Amino acid sequence: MSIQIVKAGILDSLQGLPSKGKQHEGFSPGGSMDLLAHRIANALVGNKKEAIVLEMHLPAATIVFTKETLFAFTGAATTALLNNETVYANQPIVVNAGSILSFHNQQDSARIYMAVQGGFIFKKGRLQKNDALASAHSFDYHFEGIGQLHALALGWTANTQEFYRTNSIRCIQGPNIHVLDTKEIADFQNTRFEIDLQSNRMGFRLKSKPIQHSILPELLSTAVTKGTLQLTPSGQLIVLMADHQTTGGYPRIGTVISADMASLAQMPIGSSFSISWVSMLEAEALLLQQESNLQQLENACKFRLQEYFSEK
Amino acid sequence: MSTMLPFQLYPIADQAVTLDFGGPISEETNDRVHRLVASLQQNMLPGITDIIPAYNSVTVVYDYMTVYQEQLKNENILPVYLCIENWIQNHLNDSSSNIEEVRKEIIIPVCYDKSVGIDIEFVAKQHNLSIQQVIELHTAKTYRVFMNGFLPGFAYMGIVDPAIQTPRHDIPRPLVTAGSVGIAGVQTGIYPCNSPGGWQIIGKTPISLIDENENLLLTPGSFVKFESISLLSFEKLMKP
Repeated sequence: MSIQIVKAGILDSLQGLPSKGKQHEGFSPGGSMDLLAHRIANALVGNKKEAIVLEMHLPAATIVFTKETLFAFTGAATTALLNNETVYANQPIVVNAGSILSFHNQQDSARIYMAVQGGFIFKKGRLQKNDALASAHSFDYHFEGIGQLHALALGWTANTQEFYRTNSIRCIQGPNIHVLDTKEIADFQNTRFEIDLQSNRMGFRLKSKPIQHSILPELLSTAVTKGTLQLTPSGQLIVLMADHQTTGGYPRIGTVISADMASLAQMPIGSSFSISWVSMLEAEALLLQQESNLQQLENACKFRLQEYFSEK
Repeated sequence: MSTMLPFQLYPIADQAVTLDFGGPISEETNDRVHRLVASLQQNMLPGITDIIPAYNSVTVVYDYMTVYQEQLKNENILPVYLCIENWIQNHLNDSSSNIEEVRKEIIIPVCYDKSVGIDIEFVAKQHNLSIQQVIELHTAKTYRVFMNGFLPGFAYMGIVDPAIQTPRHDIPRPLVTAGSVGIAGVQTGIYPCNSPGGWQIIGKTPISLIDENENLLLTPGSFVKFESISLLSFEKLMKP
């Protein structure tokens, strides 16, 4: 055992990377909403990128560590309280058994990701109070000398700011874009789309001035993906998120580019953004750039951990 | 020699491409969809994560980085989505001789009693039929599974007899219970689990559409016939 939930948050769950190869049977790919944060949290503690992490919405869970653990958190919290002492996001931290970790509400982002070394063992469904979560295997590294300390931050911080955008989300145009006229399409970058209260891991409803469109075609159900912007008959958009249905019949006017999905996933309910259109070539280039930056960060984390423990 | 049929090929995301044959729901187009899926599965590329058939389209979802790295090795400088589009197009007219046609016939018991088929009276009235006639028309045909989607285990089936085709509710119900059998236009289907839903519910089956290992009862290649059962047998079958 490595942690126990002593107070459940509003929606805590264990998440991996999106699953593959089951969408044709109607299974949503699922996985962490913010895949950047997922990978950063894992990199900080020396895990493989696919290791299972704890995803928490705000208000987040209060957790007790049941054994000495190397952990890190990132995403919607810059600080947390560990036995009433402040600890910081984006840092690998060794913590003693019995320590209690809690988060205060920080509403400028939406989701916290926490990794423990070895990764969690998957457990289905929403986490409840008293749920004990095992990490997959014991330590690769030995911590000696933490002694009476509750926690020991290893001393470096990953810079994650550059990965996130707040004001505008970039999209490619979708197959049914022509239900909008050119003026309406161009106007998207001046329109604010607000994330409605009725938003969840399946999709975000976007509140905006009604989108002017021609008569919507009757479409046969066809595959939809994460990031798809569906235009509903009421002239509002729904953007599909991690737990989306695999098929849909609403007109698809665009899709959020992969490089901006993490930024969108971190936007809290009530915040708003504009939509700017990019080409497929730009979307691919932006994804490649982001992946390269992320791999650099992952390598740096790995290097620092190895260096730290080889000196011990 | 097969002739080139009209189709459209376009990205629907920066890691997904759709080939769309267009047109209405038809068995012929859907055959073409599943032939293409089988052909792509036999000629997989590294980085392809999902191949999703629908009524008249096939969507390929891929991992951009894996495909990109593979293309680099081959010194290919095309944008990744064009590589995927080319791959799909190259297999569009593959001979179907080495593709096994699996035909699975399944009989599904359905209780059409008003207490569980909560819209059957409405459907009957819409078409000036008796409830018994609706049941006869729904059980008369063998339905083809065109695709899965919507919920794990949900199968889109058709084609419903024009005499009982009924559009879905304007406002979906917040809860349709697992096993509910519905009609939406030319389509019929069974809710595999409790879910919001807008289809006209004409009956309910005690049969489970998905087992504990997530195997599906109904997949493309399945042909389904519904068999009317009494409320009493339904209740007996529902008991564990």
